Amino acid sequence: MPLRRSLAEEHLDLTQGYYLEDHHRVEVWSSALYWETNVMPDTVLRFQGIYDVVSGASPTGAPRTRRTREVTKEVVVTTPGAPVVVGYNTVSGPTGSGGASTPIFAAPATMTVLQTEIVPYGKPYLPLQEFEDQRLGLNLELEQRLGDWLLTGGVAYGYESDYAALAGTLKIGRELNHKTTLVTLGASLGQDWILNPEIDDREIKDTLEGLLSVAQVINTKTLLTLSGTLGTASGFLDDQYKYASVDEEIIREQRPDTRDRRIVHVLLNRTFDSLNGSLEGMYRFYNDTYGIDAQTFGLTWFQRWGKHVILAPSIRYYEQTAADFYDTSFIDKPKVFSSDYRLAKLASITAGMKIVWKINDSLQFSLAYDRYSMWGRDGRTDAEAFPKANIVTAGFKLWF
Amino acid sequence: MVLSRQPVLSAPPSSDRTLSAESLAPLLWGKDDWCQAHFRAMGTSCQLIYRPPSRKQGMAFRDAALAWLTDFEAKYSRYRDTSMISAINRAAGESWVETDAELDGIFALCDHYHWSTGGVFDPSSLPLLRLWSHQVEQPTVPSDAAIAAALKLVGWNRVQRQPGRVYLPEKGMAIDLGGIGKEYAVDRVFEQSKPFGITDIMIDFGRDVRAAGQAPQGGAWRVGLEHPTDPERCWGGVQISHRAVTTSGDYLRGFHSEGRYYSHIIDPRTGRPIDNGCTSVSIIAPTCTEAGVLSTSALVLGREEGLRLIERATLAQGCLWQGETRYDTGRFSAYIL
Repeated sequence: MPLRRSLAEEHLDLTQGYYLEDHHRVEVWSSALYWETNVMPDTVLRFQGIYDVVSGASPTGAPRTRRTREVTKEVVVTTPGAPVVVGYNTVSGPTGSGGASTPIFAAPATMTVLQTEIVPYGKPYLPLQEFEDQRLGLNLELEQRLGDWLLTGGVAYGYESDYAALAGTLKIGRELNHKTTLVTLGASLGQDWILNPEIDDREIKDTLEGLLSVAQVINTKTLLTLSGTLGTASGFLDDQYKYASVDEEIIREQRPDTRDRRIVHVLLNRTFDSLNGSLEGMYRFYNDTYGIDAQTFGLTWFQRWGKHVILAPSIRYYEQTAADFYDTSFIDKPKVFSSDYRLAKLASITAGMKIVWKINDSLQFSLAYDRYSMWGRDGRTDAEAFPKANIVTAGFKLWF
Repeated sequence: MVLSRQPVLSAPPSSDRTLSAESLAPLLWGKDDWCQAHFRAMGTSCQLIYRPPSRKQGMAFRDAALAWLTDFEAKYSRYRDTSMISAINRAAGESWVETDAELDGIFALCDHYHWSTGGVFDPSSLPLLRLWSHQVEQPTVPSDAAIAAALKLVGWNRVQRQPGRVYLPEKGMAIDLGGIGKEYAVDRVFEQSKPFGITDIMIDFGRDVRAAGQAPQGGAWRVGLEHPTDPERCWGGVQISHRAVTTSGDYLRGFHSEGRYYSHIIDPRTGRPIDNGCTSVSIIAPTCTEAGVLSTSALVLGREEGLRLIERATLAQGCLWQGETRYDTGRFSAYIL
């Protein structure tokens, strides 16, 4: 079982995804195109294009508040005795006098006035930042085989109205042990431009990543892939739409301007002939200098059903610790702070089912449904901040 | 001294007793739980400014003060036919009249002040006061004979007293508490504030003032002192705490006759209005009663004797106006703002 075929399977994937959070908070229509073709012998071109339409609202990080409205009403106002700097509490004089009084403790006056107040009403709600945007992502990759070596170069570009990203990737792979082992070393360099509304200009974020991956055929039924990634990001790493309560004021969050991360990823594929299916298990460990440790466990079972149908139930569990500078509110304004729920101690489960129907050798249809559920684990972050969503994805795959 | 500063024990009418304290003296609440009550009593304008420990205590004190004042007027005002004082005056030369403990106490104070002022303070001067009344439609200067006749009816030492009863030995004699009653009421109401836990308070009955603790603006109470030649303004002020301030003056009431001004302050020694050039005396003393007696007596005595009288009172200080000049006792300036 070689790890790489000498020629790519020339095909085109077209998928349409729909993500809808509960209570219609965020809605994403996602269209994707993936095209893989041999442009020359031993040269594979891969192109991926993604177009998302995103709308909805996301928690800003500010604590719950209540809506307010202006109410004008007639009120009876009693003005307290108004202290004056110069004056007397009373005046002493012969009985019957009375002209010279300048009392400090003036008699309160009662009058009816129209008073406009801003009063809260309704139940406390979680402040949300509404957004509506379109995202475009393009990824072009060229892979060149040179004997047992695989050289891959790629470029990726992403664009949103307030965000742009450009990255280049270079990978070198070496097949060993009669092509049962593939060692890949890669690096990517990227730069993002983020619109910062505070300065009404774009900020820059630089990223650099290194990758080492080893894929090993254990036996004819088992494939193990291990990979490790080291990455660093620096520059403007804030989310410009996230806020925090600092000294009872709601201000824009401030994150550290560097973030180093380490990732270990393990993927195991095992075929079970007797069950006419295969199991894919994955584990991912993530750690970064924000103080976040995260783990992901995933299992997918591919069950063949007849000659043309595959049913693939899957489940994935994710958990993370909170960033060091995360809290729901702050006092004595710290240097860095964030109340972005995504940096909280949290967990999520994604459970779903995918059905793949291979209509013939040239055409395949797939339909998947996933239920995504995230929840906080710190007991402080507002439970409503964590999304729950339904995800439906339909796709076609065409072989040429 | 004729106690003629004002018919102080004259109001409110008895029908007011049916009204609630809240309607007679509504409490107005200010910052930091200070409260203020304005009301009419003893024929003059009164005010209480104080900071009670609670609103409930504040209202309870106001109620108690008004109840006491109403009762005080009913019993001791010479303007009330049913009062004890009216009964005493009606029985002059005829019979003894029963008194209560409070009136016995007031008479004891009158003994003391009559003695300490050398007879200038004399609650029995009502015959002279009536003779020189400026409240009649056309005040006139009485004849020497009339003055001499009235003087024969004056003399606190002639008033016979025993515990629980009093007797005016000659028909026509009459007593009046106008020169001490209002000040005495200030002191009594002040004493009544203590059981209610009130430590910051100012009582002002007809501009006779007693204050304790702190004022609403913080620090001592500031009391302006009316200018005798320009009563629309104060010539200055004093700051006091745990002290009383009273001012006596002859510039507001009295009458003119044949180009001459006759003060409403009568010297019981001569039977005539004072004519010593003094227009005003202000006194700071531990009690309002003492301050009131001293201020009026000093005004009667004149500059030299009056200032000596004030100096003799150990804990009192004062100032006396004669013409445009002010004369202070030794430590009066320590109180001036």
